Amino acid sequence: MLIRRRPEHPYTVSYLSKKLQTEPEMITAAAKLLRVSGYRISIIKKDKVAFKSAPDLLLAAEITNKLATKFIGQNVHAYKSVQSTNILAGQLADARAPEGTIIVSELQTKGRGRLGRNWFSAEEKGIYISIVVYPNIDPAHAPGLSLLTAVSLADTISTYDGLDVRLKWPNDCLINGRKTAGILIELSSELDHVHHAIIGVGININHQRRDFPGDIRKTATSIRAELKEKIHRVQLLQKFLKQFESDYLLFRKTGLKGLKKRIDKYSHLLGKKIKLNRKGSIYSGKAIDIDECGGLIVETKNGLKTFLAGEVTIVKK
Amino acid sequence: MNEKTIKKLIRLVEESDIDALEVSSWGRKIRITRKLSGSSNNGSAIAAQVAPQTAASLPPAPVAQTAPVPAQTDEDKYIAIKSPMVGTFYTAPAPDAKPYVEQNHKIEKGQVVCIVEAMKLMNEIESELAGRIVKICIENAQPVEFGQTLFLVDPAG
Repeated sequence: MLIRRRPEHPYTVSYLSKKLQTEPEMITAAAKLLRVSGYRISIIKKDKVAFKSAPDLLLAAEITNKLATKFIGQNVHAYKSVQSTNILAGQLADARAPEGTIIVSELQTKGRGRLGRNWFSAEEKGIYISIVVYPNIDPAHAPGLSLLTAVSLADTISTYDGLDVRLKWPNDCLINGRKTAGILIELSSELDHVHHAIIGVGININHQRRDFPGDIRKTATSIRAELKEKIHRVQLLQKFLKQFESDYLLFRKTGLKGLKKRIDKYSHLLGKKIKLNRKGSIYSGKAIDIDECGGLIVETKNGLKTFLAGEVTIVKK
Repeated sequence: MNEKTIKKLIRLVEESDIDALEVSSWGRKIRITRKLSGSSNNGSAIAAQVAPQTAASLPPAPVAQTAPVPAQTDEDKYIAIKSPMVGTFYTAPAPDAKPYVEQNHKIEKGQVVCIVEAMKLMNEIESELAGRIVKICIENAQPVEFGQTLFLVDPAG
């Protein structure tokens, strides 16, 4: 967008039409269309246009504007409403869309959590995104993607001062003990080959307390609810995409080793007494470490046990 | 304003999700409007098309009614689909959804046969061969080990 280079500066329509090699009518029309999308653009006496501001909406043009990544987020499919960004991402991956392609939506009507559970999505308040990647890794190491995404997310949210960000194994992202982001990764693989991975992330950003339905009001939160400050979503998304790209490249080189320090730093569980529910069997013990595959190592009465799944609760003293 | 410009403007409106656009030049005004057929919302429309495919609706799999389940001794001729990772085995995408495959179902190469989950990563396992599911070796929601046999497939169908 040419007129964005100098905000408030009135560009004449004839200059722009010459520069962009199009008819003057197209310039006026484009300005009007942009206004409909939420851009603030003045049209002065029909022959000058000036850029005032861009909306904080998940539009492809906004997300890619000055996005400092090599490939993550450079190809954007943006929607106002979809059933689930992961479903669309899966289709794009099957069609071999370029690595790093993202699908974003202002609203999900069937936001999914694990195993058919729902993810609550409020319009224009959160970010609902799926990233398509083709990691050339052993499927046995793929669960590491879950922790990698969580760490990138925790780093991104931590850039806003004054937030105590924690990761509850494996990948719930908590602020002050309440859930603010969720991750759902869908992998397509054979025994020794990963076809694609879809990294689905839902982040509660500008929700206010009252926006959450009653059943999750006590357990869920948003960045705004904690900071008492409205957050620029596109900026946050760009930070996350950049962080994710660098962590993803590191993960492909070193596995979880290169991320271990940060996994420990954000851990909500390490050193605490926990109960882990695994398909109805309850294990009690102290969470002592996270291994190279991302498994949780728990010191139980019967010695050390490593878990790759289970619902964890902290035992209060 | 010539015809080419007007055509371009119409395309602009078509590609956007607005209902009307008015542009004036040299004292002449053009107004382009459109009637919306159904939803103007791209995303929803696309998502709506997508849904049936992911709702675990398999192509109507012909059930071999006459073929009895072969005896255990025949197992050598069957090929195993093994788990690529440690995790939990699920036969369906959600607790209330239909299973991806059932015993005696014919499967295609590349068809999703189950999910193995570990740490909130849902791995859709694709079959590496075409054939018929002879046996589902693990119960739904049970833990599986790396390399453990999940299904036995008869490549002869």
